[in-house]
Amino acid sequence: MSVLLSLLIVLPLLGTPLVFLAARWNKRVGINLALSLAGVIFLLAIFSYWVVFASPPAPGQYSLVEKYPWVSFIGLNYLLGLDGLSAPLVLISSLLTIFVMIGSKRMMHHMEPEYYALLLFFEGSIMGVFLSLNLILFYIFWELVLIPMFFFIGFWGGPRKKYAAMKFILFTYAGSTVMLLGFLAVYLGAPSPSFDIPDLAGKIPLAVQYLPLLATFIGFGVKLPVVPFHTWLPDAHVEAPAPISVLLAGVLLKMGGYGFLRISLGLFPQASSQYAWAFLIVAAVTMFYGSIVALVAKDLKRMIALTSINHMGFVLFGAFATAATGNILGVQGAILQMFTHAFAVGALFMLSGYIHEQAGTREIPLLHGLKITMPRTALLLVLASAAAMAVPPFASFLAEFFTLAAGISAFPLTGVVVLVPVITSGYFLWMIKRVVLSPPSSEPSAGGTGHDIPKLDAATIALYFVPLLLLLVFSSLILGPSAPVAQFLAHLGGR
Amino acid sequence: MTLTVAEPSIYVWLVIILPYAGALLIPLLARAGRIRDSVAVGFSLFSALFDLLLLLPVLQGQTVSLQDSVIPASVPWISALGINVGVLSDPYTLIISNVVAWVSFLIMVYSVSYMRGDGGINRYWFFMNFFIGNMQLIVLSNNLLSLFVGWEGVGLCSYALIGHYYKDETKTWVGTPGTRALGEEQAYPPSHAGMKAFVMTRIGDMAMLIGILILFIYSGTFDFKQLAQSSGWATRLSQSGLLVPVALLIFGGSIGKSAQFPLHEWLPDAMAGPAPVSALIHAATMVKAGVVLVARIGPIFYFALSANPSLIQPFFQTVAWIGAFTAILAASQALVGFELKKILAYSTVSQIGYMMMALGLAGLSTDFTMGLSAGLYHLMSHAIFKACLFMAAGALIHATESKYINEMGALRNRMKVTFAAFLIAAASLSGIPPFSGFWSKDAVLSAAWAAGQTGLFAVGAITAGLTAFYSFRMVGIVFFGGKSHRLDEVEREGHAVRESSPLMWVPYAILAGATVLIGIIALPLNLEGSLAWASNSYLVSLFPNLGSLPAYSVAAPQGFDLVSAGIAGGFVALGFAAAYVIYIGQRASPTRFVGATGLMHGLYTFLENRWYINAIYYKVFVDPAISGSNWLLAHVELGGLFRVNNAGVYLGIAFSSAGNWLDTRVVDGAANAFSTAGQSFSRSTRKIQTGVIENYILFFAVGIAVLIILLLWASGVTLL
Repeated sequence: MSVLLSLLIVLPLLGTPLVFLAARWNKRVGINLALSLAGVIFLLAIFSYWVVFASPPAPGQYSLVEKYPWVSFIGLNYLLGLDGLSAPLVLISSLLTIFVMIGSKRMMHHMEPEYYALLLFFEGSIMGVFLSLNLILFYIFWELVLIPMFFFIGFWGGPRKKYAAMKFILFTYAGSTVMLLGFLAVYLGAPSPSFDIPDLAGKIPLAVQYLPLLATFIGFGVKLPVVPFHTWLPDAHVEAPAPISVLLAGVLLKMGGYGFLRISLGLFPQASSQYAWAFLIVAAVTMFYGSIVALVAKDLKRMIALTSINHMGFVLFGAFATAATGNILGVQGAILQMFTHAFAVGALFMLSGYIHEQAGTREIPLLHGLKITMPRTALLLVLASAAAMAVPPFASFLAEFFTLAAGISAFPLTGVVVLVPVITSGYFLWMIKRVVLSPPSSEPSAGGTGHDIPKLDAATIALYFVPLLLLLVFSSLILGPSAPVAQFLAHLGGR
Repeated sequence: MTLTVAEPSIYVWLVIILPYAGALLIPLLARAGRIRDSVAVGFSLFSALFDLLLLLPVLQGQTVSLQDSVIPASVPWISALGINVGVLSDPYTLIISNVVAWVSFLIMVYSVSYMRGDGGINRYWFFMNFFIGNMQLIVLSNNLLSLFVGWEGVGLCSYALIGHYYKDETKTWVGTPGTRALGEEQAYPPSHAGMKAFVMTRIGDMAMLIGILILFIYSGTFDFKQLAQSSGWATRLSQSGLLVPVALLIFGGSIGKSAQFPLHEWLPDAMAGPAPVSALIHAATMVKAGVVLVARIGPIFYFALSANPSLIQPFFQTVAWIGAFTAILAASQALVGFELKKILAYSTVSQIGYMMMALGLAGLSTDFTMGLSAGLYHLMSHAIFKACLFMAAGALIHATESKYINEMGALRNRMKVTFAAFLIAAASLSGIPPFSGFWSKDAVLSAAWAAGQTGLFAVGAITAGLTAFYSFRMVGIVFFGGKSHRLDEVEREGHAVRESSPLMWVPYAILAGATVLIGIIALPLNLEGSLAWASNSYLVSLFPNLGSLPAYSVAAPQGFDLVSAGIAGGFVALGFAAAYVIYIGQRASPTRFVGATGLMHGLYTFLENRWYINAIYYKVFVDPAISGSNWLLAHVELGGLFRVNNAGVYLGIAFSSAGNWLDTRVVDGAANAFSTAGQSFSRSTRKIQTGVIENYILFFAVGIAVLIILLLWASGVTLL
């Protein structure tokens, strides 16, 4: 049995105390240790992705499975596996951790030992979420992720960090408690009690599916987030430091999308299929709401956070479009959307952090003339905005294209959500007009008077665009492995 | 002698790839000055040369086959969905592609001089090359998906280039600052105009996207030839009543990109960009993309239901009437304009209306080819004379430092070449023989006449009269009459108004020459017949069995229809005469004619304010969108949801405080060990304040270690 997947979880968790101690002893050594550990984990993630890509597991099957019985009287097995759904998310998590560590070197000068240790802890626990195939194990990692994030916001956050951290933890904790109840209902209702996802898939009677579907909707819906459970997100983003926002949007939100696909669709397929229309409505409302409120957001970072909500709505939309029709494009689009969103919005958050640092404000009405005062930053901001607007040559365009295709094949009326990209491009261009393409302010206190982003940092942010451009040409890198998963989920729904 | 191309598919690919490559080189050569300029122009030239090599066989009446090439004409793109990306090489496509390539090249040459010394030159070259690549991708793509990629790409370039003067200095604005209609500002800075163009065209793009997606769901393909050769999808679509809606949704993209009513309002304001941008993107090429799209999907939808083409008639009716209405709408607005480039922009909108009308007529007449080739004819001739007009306009604006025609005047002696080129192109635009515009407009109008569409013909003929009027109004005010005060002022400041540099005037002189040449050879070489052949070859490339399709028929060759040409010619003569008397001969006063009040003045204001459509859009869509979003923010997001959610948060805090009180008072010290989750939160936040975090991390490390030991112990139990 391979231990590759275990290494992906254990290495960062083991690294946590090591990095902490090393950084206490010598800051540079500690940070470099963290970076090299993250590098090793990234290589392992690439290798495991290659395994899945080279020979995608058959529908309903997993690669690199590890299974050990653990606490069998409560059904807890140590069961890990990788497929075309989890592999891209593992890759995102490991890559973004590196990006975030590099980005943090400039921005974070406060309690570094704890910070870098917690970054690894976060990475380990999020890997656990994406790799676990046992519901209880999944739940343990799911809760574990909250701990580092709570401290990231609470310690390193902005002026209202305590409020935001508290709100974050209460919301997500409440959501996951309901989710756990759903899991218990599954255990009790299944013909042969088990928490192992491969054992449960396709075996849960329809009558038992409804309540857990609702319960997991709340758990994953808070995380994704869907309107109206979303209010923790803008606050958390506004208060979190920029690198943490990258993780929050790039990785943490994906837990919600992953949960919807793996558990809601994977375990409750017929119920999902029956109520797909309701989920599609929720998704459409989320997309519209996120984009409309973003139109008038004053804080650049809040605007980006709301963009996340609107983008993640596409994930929900694609997932349940597949549930409704069996059109596999929905799930494939959702997976691609999770991937592209991580990089487009990640770059935007790093830039907003940089602009805040240099200009002293993130208020869109106060920022002026970045094109003149910070040309490199401005260029990157425009590129990242184009990626978020889903304009070719960025692959985000394909992702939205696929989810929409599946949605329209379910209900042609859902075509109205194409207005969302129109609104999205509207508010991004309006932001660019005000922030980038305006005459610089003459007052010394006003925004946009700082230094331009250093070349090295600009290059790091430019790296975010590489996967986005690459995927337009080689979309099969994601679509290939995700096809069997999508077929499996579509097939389960019985459509 | 016959010319053939050995490996044609590689040439087609190069036509697309070279401009992209040029674009990518620009940032690397950012500081290389002249080398960079040569690279920018050179790559557009190479692309055009390869394009020309492909056209040579076509000019000799042969088609170019890509089938047995070493380099495939179609390569897998999204293999998971079986989607390929490939190129086309039929004569129709190659003619459009060559028009794009050569007009682009000339405008690039012109840009070298026009943009000299501009601070944003790198950005300019990058987007111009990137634009040409994307435009060729639209024209040459063999499927809707890669066409859509190019489609969005040109939109991005258009946005960036309209907003080229992003500093928004007042002199770069479009419109006269301070003018209002219905209380809405009617003048826009470049950055606003760019944004307006992007968002407005994207509305159309999204309609198109839905249309493409529904088509894909029903047919399983994006490929034009596959769509043409399987007709099951059309039957299924028409059974679900979606056939016409889907075609119209895709046409929505054309409406946006080609600035047709009701999405035409972005184009006049797009004139905030530099003149060569207006010439290339907003006159000669990008705005024709919509026409190309209709030429792609039109035949497919028409012949798909070959047995019963009447089901798709409403689509062609709509296309033709939108085209005709846009033509007269925009022409009427051009009558009263004073900004030179804006008049030309209205004119572009109007002329594209003719092309749409022609393509709509294709489906309304018995001979599909007739409308198709008339559309191609007018597309080609308009690209040439309108690019010429815009470049000449750029030279005029450069020389006089004003965008208003009434601040020019009497320039015919001082800018002789520009005058000659402008006059020829304006005559061509007006449809005066023997220039190319006369023949191409006649092709459109006689197609309407032959199809028995009297209404469309009438609108087209009246528009032709309006066109002649506004064209010669421009010529009169700019080149004849007396010098304007403004011009005196400019000269007093020591700035001589004189002819532009050869690098600028040679390109538009060449285009003026081309419009004359085409006009002269049109009849002797039977250009119309050749274009009909090209259109027919295009249809055959889609439908190899075209001749046996029930919907296909060939009308008897029309030749030159004297009645239709005579009626249209009458309107043109009328328009020309009126403009001549008023503006060139100066024998009547337009201001006295319009007056200060009354019906004519009302009409004048109505036209000047663009029929109030622009202002109404702002009133109905833009303002409410912003105030509505603000309302949503204030009352739902912050007022409603946040308050409800925060109530939850505060309830949680209150609960934990209550628990705290209960614990300390009632359960006393023991309670601390079992404190509620909320309590530990409030304690942790207290710790943050005191800054004792190391303890916390330590606590966590220990906690995790304990957890792991516990679980291991538990697993040990199970192993026993």
